[in-house]
Amino acid sequence: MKSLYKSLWLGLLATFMFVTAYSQELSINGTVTDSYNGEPLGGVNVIIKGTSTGTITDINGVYQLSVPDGSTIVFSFIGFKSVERAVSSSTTTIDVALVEDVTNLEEIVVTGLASSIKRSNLANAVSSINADELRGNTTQSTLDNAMFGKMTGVNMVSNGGAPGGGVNVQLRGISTLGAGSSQPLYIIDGVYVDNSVIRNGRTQVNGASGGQSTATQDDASNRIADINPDDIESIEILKGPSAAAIYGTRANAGVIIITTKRGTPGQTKISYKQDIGWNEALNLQGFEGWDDAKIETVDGTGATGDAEKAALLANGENDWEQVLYGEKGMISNSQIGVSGGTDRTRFYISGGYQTEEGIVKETGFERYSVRANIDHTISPKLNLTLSTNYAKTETRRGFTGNQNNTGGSLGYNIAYTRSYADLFPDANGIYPDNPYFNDNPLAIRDLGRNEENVDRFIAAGGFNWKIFQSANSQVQFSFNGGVDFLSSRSFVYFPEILQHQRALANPGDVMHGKQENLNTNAQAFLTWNLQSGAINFNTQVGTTWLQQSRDLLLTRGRGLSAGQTNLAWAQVVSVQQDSEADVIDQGLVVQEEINWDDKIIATLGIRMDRSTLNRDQNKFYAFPKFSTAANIANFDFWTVSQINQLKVRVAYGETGGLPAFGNTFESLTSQLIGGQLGSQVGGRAVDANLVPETASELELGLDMGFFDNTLGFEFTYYQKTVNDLILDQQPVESSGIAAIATNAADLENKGIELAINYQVLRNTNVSWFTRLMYWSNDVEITRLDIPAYNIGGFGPSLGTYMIAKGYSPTTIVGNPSGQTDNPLGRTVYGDRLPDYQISWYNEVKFLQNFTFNVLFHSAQGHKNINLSALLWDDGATTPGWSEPGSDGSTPFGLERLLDWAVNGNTGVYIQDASYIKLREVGLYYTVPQSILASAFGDGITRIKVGVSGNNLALWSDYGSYDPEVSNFGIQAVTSAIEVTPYPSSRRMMFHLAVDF
Amino acid sequence: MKNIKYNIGLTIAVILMVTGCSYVEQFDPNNPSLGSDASVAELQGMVTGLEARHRQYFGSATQMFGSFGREVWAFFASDPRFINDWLGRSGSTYPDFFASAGTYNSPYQAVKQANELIDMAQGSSSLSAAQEAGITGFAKTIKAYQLLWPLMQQWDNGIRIDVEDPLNPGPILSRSVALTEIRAILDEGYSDLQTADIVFSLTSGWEGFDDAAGLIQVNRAIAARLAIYDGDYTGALTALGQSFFDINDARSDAAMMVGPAHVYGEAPDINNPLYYPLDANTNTILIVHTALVEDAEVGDLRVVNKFHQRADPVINATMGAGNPGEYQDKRWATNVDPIPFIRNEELILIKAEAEWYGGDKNVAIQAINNVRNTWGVGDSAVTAASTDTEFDDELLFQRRYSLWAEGGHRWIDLRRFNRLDASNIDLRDGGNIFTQVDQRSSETNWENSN
Repeated sequence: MKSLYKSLWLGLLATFMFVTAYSQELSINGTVTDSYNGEPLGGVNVIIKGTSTGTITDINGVYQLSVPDGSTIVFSFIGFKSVERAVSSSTTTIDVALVEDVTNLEEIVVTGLASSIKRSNLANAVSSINADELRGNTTQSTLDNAMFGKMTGVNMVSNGGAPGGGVNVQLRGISTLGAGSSQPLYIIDGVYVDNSVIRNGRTQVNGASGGQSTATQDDASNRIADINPDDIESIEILKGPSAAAIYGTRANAGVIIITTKRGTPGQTKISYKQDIGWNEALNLQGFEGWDDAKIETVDGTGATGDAEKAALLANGENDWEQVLYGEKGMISNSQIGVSGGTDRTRFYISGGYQTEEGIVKETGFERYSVRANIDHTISPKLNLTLSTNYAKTETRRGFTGNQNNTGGSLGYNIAYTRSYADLFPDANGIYPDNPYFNDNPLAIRDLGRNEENVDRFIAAGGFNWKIFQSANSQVQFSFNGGVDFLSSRSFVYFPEILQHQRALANPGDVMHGKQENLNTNAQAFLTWNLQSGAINFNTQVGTTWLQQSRDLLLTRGRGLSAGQTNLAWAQVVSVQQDSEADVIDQGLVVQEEINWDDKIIATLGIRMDRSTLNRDQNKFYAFPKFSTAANIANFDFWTVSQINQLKVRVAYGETGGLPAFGNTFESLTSQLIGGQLGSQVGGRAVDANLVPETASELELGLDMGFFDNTLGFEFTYYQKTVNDLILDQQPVESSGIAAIATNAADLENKGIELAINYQVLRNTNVSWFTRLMYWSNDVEITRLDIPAYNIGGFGPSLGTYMIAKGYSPTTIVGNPSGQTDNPLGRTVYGDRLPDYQISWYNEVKFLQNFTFNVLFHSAQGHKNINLSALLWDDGATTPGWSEPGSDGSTPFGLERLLDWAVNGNTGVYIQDASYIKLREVGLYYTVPQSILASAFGDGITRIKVGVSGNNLALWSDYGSYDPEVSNFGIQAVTSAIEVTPYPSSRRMMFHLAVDF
Repeated sequence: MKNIKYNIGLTIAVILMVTGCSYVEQFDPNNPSLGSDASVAELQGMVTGLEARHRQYFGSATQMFGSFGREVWAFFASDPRFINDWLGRSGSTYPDFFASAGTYNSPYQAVKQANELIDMAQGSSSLSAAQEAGITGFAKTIKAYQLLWPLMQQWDNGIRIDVEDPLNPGPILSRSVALTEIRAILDEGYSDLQTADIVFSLTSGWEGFDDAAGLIQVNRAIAARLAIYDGDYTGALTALGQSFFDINDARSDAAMMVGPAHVYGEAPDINNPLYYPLDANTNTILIVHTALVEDAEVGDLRVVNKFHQRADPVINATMGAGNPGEYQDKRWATNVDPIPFIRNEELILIKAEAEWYGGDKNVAIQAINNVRNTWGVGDSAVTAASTDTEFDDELLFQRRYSLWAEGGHRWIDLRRFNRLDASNIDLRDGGNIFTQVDQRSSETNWENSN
């Protein structure tokens, strides 16, 4: 018996390994082209149907494959409809022209830890962005900037215009009120990558968080900025718990799965790309200048007014906005990629260097990136993958945003600095003192420094081992491990010669920051695939493990020796922050996927997770999922030929949201006093029964394809509930405890997502593809066990948020109080989340070799708290400040300020933030193959040139630079507050791409 | 088949190996936690922590109450609310009034610290009964002093005294009941200190007051202040007798300054919150209200000692050019100078008030003149025969200059003498006068929902 099993086992193996050897082999070759322009397509998968045997076309679209007689070859390529061709003994050549597929139904979508599925069988609306869509059009600053307007169900908001990123990405509404992560989990080639925002202490140096505000206002960017977008092959976005349940305890805010480019066998291909262009301010406001009449209005006709008038006469006027924000910042992006290999070993190696200067002198962003991705097939049973990436970024974001008592924000500074101030340095480089504010903004710009350098190494490795394979069954073991190591050094510096520093006891201020973040993760999965008749069973059992450690040291020196920045040259040295965090998560996964002949596809799974971030660190929490998709058009009874796809889908899933590190500890804080070190009872307490936040989502969808998929329609409705939200119960402040972390609320997001893809025209002269996306989300707090409360911002008189049952958590409220329509009695002014968003993408190909792309994006119906306007009114710099107000005489700016100050009307600074943006425009010309061949022979296989623009135009009534803004950076709830941010820029670029 | 089993078994072993074995429970790697049965060293840390919490209110009280009573103007240009809201230009306060947590949340943090310290001392097996009494006596003294600040801010709204359990706080007590309770806590501290053995050390701010006898003197000095706030003049006189009150030596600047102090240092300590370099070109500075200079008697050394006329006045955009900041505080030579929080000069003025209303009016006048003479001005025109109003005028005038910018005495004094009006408060800045600050939302919400 034993030997029988053994020989059966060996026999099966042999059958699998040498399956081709026993059949009659035919050698087939051919060329695969794009049906639109006849240009060859490289990288097309050419597979023998029903097997994993096949090849890939080379850059000339040529393939060669040995196939058994009577089999069928499948040609598939992302973005094109698959084609099948039967092989008979007389066949030697099969040439195929692939037709673009607007619905991408054949695309393989990565949906989980060890699973991927054809889009046409997907039970969720998973948005995908491929390399061409991501950066084929224009060159954005960072990865998140490249995603704007390219998927539904997301609210993306830039924190400001400073170089180097900083984008709040919130999928399907609100997932946490701030205790957990509001940002999606980013997974690149299986590695859990760090997307944190690293403290640099700018908020202390420029005083932003001195005084009344304790929140961080560093304006540092989130670290997804380190990833080179040109390395990315595709992005899949699992927007809600129904799709992301298998990611368990960290997936409440969704998961973004990124796959980088990999090698294709064949001739080695070298791709070189050079983009060059510039940044310029998008929407300068045009501050109002000064004249004698205005001086008299503000300063009166006495001695003060006379002195000011004399200064105006003596100094003349400058437009400080132009002076500070008027630079054209150079942008350059160079990328080189080398890919190739054999059937057994494939490689992709790339190097990239992107540099851009900001619209403010001394600001900019640079990224160096090197990547090597290698795949090796040891045997048909075993293959290895390795992905490695080193990146280095240097970011200089300058001084903008909030400040207190330092003048250490250009925007805040010039809100008060009069146009006739004498600010330019003299022949000796001495900057005059600014009589109108704490410092001379030109000195802040030129002498202050705010730098962050990050070195980052991300590596992933793994293997797939086919333990067993038979005709209808396969057992596979896969293991993946990953490391993401990030080392950051930040440097914020105000020299001792600055005006505001000279007014301090210890002039000169420097903050040195060092942070090291290390994520390591591993997962092991056993997958059993069984084909039983028309039904395919896919069973997965696996386990995952993740460890994160973070270590920050932020040190400050004040009272600096002339020109020195080393802490050894500071009179007063202090540790601003020294914090460590160590976190371990562990998970177990079981999943069953049943596919009945692509007609009905059902998935059932559960993940069990425990994490040291939980109050109960040893408890496993369960996250189940269930989904089913029915491809009605695949049933035999379906005879409507115009509708070739009709899919109804239902998905349900649950995920978790972990408390932030430290929120489950009740700790003492240290304070030095008079040479003695005291222990202070902290202001936080924790509910002993704290559990993680959990989200559950029901998603319903209908996908349709018409006219051979030239028109695609995707409709999704979801209802995403987040339960046991951890929030800071505010006990009476007289308790001395500011917050008790407790599970005290539920909220519900309901939304719809609609996408229409339409190949409007397609002939040899013109091809026009258009995609319209619409999405909206409504969120409401459905349970609140504690009294309604305000969070965020600078207090009620300057606009804040209200957490109250029956209201959206992003409700903006302010003074006057005494209203009766809401629990806090404040005035409700609106919501920071848009009512709806629309994006509209068009791609027109014409004259064979020209491509024109344009992407519009609009968000409508939301509000911002515009405190820039308050400062401008206060400093009498608002555009149109002197225009007569409603009474016909009081200057408009003063009237608005008094409305706020005297009538206590916060509403004048809470403004509609609806916008339409022209996100991307590109025009490219690809030199025809025939010309290349005659000019260069085989040397050059592709030349593409183009021009493009990013954020070219903004249409909005909002009263500042850009309705996308957040003074407090990435916030779960309390963003959309503006304090004189770094103005946004538009980017103009020229492109050249050459393939060898 | 065995082979398959072997393979699968190996796979599962790998799975468990790579993912199972390194799950370790985590603790806060950055900070200690409150433990049970505290050691003397842990208690010392908490005592020092209490001293640190104890000074938190001071800058805010001086700036905000000082603005209410027009002792100072807060020319902090980065936020117009320091002028608009604090000076009442829009009429009234509102719940969670701008920058008002410093005299509410901060003192209550000190109260929390004191309560925890009392619990820890009582639960510690390392202390003798006398040593425990030393800690609880000190903690109760500070707790009572700190409770005074929210009461001064909230006044007729009342405050909570029982705040030990955050989710089960005691009721909001009326002003008079709260004051009685605070005095009782102070008296408990006094009683504890009678039998105390001091095992902890305090900072240099307590030099001369850091043993049981010294702590008793400080406790009683605070008791004297609370007594006059409560109209208990006999109590005030009794307390003064047990405090460091000293009128005999008082005709010197140094004797007037005797008293326990809040100490300051360079980071990570905090700086003296009232220090601004003289004549610095800045628009962030606490300004002496011009009326103090205008109203002063000729030759008053308090004006000379405390107010510095700036070379260039500071203009605050929100205030407007009509009210330039001409004078700044010059009491502090450096940003690490200590600031006394109750001192002999105040006790002498308490003596005057308590004797006038509850003792010998001649002694009251002597006390007033003692202060006047110390600062270079002659005897007061007020005599034992003067009316109460005339005496109050004189007393309040002396308190205004002697206790200027030391936690907002002026506003508190005018209120308890029913004089919060435009004849006593100079409103050239276009503002209004507040009697108290609106109740904080957290307290109102709690009352509404429990």
